[in-house]
Amino acid sequence: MRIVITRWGLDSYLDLLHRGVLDAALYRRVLRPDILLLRERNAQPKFKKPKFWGPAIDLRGRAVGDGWKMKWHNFGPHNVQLRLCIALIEADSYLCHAYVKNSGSQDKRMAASLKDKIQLIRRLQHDERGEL
Amino acid sequence: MKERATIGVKMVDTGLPTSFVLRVLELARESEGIDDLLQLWADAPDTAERQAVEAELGATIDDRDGGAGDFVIDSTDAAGELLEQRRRFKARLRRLIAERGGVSAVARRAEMPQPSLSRLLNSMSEPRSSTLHRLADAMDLTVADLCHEARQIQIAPDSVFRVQAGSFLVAAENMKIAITKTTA
Repeated sequence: MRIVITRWGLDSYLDLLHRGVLDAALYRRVLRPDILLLRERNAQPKFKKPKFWGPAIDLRGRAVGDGWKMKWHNFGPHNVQLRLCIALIEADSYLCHAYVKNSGSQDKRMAASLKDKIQLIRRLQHDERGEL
Repeated sequence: MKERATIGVKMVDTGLPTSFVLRVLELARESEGIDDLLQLWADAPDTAERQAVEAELGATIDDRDGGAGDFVIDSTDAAGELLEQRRRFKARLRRLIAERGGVSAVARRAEMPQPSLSRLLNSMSEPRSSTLHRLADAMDLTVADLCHEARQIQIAPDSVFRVQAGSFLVAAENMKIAITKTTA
């Protein structure tokens, strides 16, 4: 299976670097190894933990189809709640966007945005910037 | 859930560009995600939340209308260098916009929501070609003016276009450049 870095994902990563939420070392040490676990997510116990992995939930309280979130708590030098939205489509994982969670309304906004991105990915109207 | 048309009227009443609102309403019919954003805008408790939704809606429109990198090409795969390039580009864009009346004035002329332009300036996101064209028009500039650094392009011996170190964007009017990895 592929782990695809979308244009949105790369933009998010650069934004997090720019804002000092993480640096390249922290990415390599914490985020990247967790993201690589997507390749074996069915066998990985971490994916059974709601604190680490769960569906994106929309404004109506429903799970977004194929939309998931990877979560890190008290992450980095600023102890933020970091979220990475991922689309699981067929066998592939698409890293869509990451954000520092600061409110429930932001979660809903990000879920709506993920829903739209999933539609674009399904239509092959997305840009890919690389693979992990 | 509120009716889309009702929300659209309210959006125009708050000063959002009519062309933007019409495009959002059109897309909301085919995208549940955009429809959700529309509902979130209607239910937003305050201006800050509304503006956050507007920026998100602006991004979704760009995703569809932006043009997939036909004018804008990152010159490197290295994240650190890419970040510096984007910082320089955004700083230049901020300066040009400030010289031409500021964010609100340029956003109005470009018929884009002010939060969308603010997000473009303050985030490290990749600008889409349609957005660059719209901004350039609103400021009586060309896309090449906005992407000043990107003019340094050279043809490598193997006939592959490569971008010199330090450049950020390649603005190539009427021309699509297929770029391979810039591993000069």
